[in-house]
Amino acid sequence: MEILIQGKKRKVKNSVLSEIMNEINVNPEEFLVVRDNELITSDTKINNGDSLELLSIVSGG
Amino acid sequence: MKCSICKEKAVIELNYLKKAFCKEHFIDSFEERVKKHVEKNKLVDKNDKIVVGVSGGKDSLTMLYLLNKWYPGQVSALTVDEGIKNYREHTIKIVEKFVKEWGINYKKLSFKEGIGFSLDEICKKLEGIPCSYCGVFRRYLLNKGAREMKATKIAIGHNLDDEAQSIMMNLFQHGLQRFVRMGPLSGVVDNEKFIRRIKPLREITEKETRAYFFIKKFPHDIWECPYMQFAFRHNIRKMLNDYEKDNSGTKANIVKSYDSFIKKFKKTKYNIVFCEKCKEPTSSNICRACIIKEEFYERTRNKGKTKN
Ligand SMILES: [Zn+2]
Ligand SMILES: [Zn+2]
Repeated sequence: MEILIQGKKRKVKNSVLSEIMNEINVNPEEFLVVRDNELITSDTKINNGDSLELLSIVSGG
Repeated sequence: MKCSICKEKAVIELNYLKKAFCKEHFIDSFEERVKKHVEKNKLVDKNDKIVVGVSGGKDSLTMLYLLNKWYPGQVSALTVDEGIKNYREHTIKIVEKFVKEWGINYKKLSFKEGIGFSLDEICKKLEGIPCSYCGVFRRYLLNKGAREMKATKIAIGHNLDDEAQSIMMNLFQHGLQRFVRMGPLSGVVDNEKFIRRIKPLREITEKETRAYFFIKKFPHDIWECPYMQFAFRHNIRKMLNDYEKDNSGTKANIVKSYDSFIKKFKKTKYNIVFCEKCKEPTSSNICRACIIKEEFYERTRNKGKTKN
């Protein structure tokens, strides 16, 4: 299916957030995920066309 | 996933605590754990005047917000402007807006005025790692500034991730002097010139402060320190997070191990001495700040080779 990550279209094979994170090589220790302005947990089912925002956990310094 | 408390839909999972929380219970749990840490370690006394070192990042602002909420009238903010172009000027704006909004007493010091040169200038002259110079002078000015503000404690926004990183960094580099000085309340000896440092967020992970910040809709900084790429800390963080991903609780365990070890070790007392040049508290005859300053001026006098 196709989803939006940081506004960019991306094809993914999986549909559970933790699996998608693994697939796109993003460590959940370093990013939180927001959908529709809400934080979501790793077991969340992601649907075709969903828009995800990755919040970097690390501060600028 | 359901909230461990109310069974509503969770917004965050904290694997190291084996818990998940809805928005409301996450905020409660976060604040409760910080408060408990502060009380358990007796970080704040009712007569304390606390100066919070604020960078404009999520950790220091969260800490400022909470301490001001719990200890109104005892809290002020202090920012150190290192002089990092295209970075610090933005984060200072965030700080200034924040303290105005919450009515918090605020002071700003700069490397340029307080030391004589900015971090950018140091990095053009000296070859060392920017963060090590920055750390030395920032601690120096925070202590001096807080003392001038008549503070009895300086609050630093170090979270559990920072703490685990510092422990590993000092181990990797055999930095044992610094190693024994970490902990929730540092500064081993009471001395009027040395203001003790407290770390209220020490048992909270970085991920949690980020989530707290997001839920509270606080202004997150999007700017990245241009010297970050040089930071050894950056590599250690990556290493620990890669490991934590498959082994929840590793970072918390590093800090716990350190604490158990240091508890025994710290029964030994230390003396603080004063820098022969600037009279600030230090652990050697001449403080690190004065040593770097001397190097800097030496280079300037000799018009020695300037780093690009
Ligand atoms: Zn709940
Ligand atoms: Zn000195």
